[in-house]
Amino acid sequence: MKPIELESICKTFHLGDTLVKALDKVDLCIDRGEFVAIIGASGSGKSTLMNVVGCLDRADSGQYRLEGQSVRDMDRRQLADIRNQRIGFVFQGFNLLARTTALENVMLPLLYYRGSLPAGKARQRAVEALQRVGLADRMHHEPNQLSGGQQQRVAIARALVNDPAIILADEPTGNLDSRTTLDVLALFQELNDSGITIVLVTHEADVAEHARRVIEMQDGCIRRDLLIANRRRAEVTALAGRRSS
Amino acid sequence: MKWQKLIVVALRSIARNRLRSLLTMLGIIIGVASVIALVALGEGSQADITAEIDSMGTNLIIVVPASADRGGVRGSAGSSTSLSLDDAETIKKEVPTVANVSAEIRLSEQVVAGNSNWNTSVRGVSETFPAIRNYQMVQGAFFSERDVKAKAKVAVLGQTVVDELFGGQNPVGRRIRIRNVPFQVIGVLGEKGQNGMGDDQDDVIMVPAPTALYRLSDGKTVRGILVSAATPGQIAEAKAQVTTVLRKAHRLRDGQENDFSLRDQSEISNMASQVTGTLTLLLSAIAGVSLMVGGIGVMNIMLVSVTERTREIGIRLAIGARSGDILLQFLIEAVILCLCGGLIGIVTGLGTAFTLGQVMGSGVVVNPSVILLSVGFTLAVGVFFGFYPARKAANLNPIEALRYE
Repeated sequence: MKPIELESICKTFHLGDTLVKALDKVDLCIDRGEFVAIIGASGSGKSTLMNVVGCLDRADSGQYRLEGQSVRDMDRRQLADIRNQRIGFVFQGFNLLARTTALENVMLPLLYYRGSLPAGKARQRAVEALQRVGLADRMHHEPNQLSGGQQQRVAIARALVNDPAIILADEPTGNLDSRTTLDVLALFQELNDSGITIVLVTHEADVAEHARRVIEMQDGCIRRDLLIANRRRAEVTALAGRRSS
Repeated sequence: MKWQKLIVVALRSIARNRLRSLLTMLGIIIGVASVIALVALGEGSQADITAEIDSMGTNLIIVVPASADRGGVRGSAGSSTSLSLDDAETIKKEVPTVANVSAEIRLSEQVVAGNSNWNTSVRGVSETFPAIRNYQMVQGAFFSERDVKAKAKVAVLGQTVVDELFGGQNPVGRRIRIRNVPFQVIGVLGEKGQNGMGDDQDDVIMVPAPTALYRLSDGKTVRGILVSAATPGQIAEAKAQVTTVLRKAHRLRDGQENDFSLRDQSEISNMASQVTGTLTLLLSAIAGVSLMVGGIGVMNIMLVSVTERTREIGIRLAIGARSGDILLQFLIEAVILCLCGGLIGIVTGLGTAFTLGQVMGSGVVVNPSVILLSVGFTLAVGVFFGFYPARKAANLNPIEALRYE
């Protein structure tokens, strides 16, 4: 069962009087454990693809199966539960809650978890997720006390905390300098090595080179889909703080 | 998502904007505080007024004879002679809800003292009369039970009579003559002024009822019996009991009409309760208006808060919050804002009421139902004015909310 299966997905936006085909019959399969980078110019449809895959938006037509489950006929609240339990989001702007500690930010998805989860267990899972991203020693810091890279790692811990099928990262390095970009990419590679499926949207070619597979979008279609034989490994030296924890 | 968590989240976001939350609550605080304070003071002074009305003798029940009917010609109310002094005694003995009873004989007589004379109202009453009608004595004393029983020829004068017959000098110990019967003046009644009809209540001479009946009158015309119920609440009960006792005493068979009738001063208490009702209505209106203004303030701030936190809402939606979770979160926030305001308002209001009560020397009555009502009302205000902003937040599109700067 593949985490993501898209069949001729179409999505059209109305911009004034003109119709913009953001996605034009996109077919895409992503296997378990893949690290996929989606690249393309702005307006190529990559963000729309990301929103559809992340169940934030619905396709106009086509079939989307997430872990074999069709999401086409789900209502808003079912989609919310899918986002909560199957998908981890990492955004360009980190999107952490201000004046809320790292730990509380990571625990946020567990707040909306429908199953039974005792408070102690929820906290423990959040601490474990922060340990995975090497920020266990900063869990009581608020976002404005953390660097950009650290904030993004908190966001990644938040994406991990519900043990999702895939992590969707939308321009996760867009707001970071080149060194912390490498930190974050190294973390993604490490998580990918441990078996987590990652889909990363970027417009930077050298970021995409860290993935195993690169999909290039253009005008709402997939123009190229290629596997990278010799992908770049990100330097992890910059993450010294993480190792020591 | 559990309630406790929602409440914690809401409390945290209120605590995050302390000054703003306080200012938002201020409308509710002022509304509730003014209502609580006004009601406490209002009910306090109302209790004062009721006590005052009671002291004027609202417990009073007047028994009068029915109209005389001689061969089909009906006389005026009270024209028959069906009541007797014994009836007054019977009522006093047999009706438990009655505090005081006094017969009343009314005569209009020419009174002579020395070389002055004056036409005035002479009343034959019992020793309990001052208690029933709240008369004070300024000089001397009212006649006693023994004077009444002995048909003593003693008189107590109203101030107007003192002025007319004695030129305002102390008449106690002096003699007056009524129908050529000499009476000794033993006391002077305190001034009462005019009654509601403009009659001078001080133009009166009180003598013992049997004295009036047998020495000055025809020996049978008792104008009425004054009865005071033990408490204002027992007026109806006392009236029923008096009726039963009198019917028995007059040996009236079932189906036979009463040969007397009862009157009380319910108009006065009705008027008092009408005033109270108007006051309550006015207070409710003030409460409604001020709480609505407060509620609009809450709604305004909640709308600002939703706009300001669009991104946060986007994040929450993206990581799996349902619309219902967001709706509840903002609704609970609004309700908590209102409830906190309400609670602070209650404390402030009670404090204000007690302080003002002390300063103005008026009574303060704390009515738990008013407090409960205002808590309930603030809760309703929170839900009502919180719903629109909360729904606005819940219906945000997560993608647009995330992009919102």
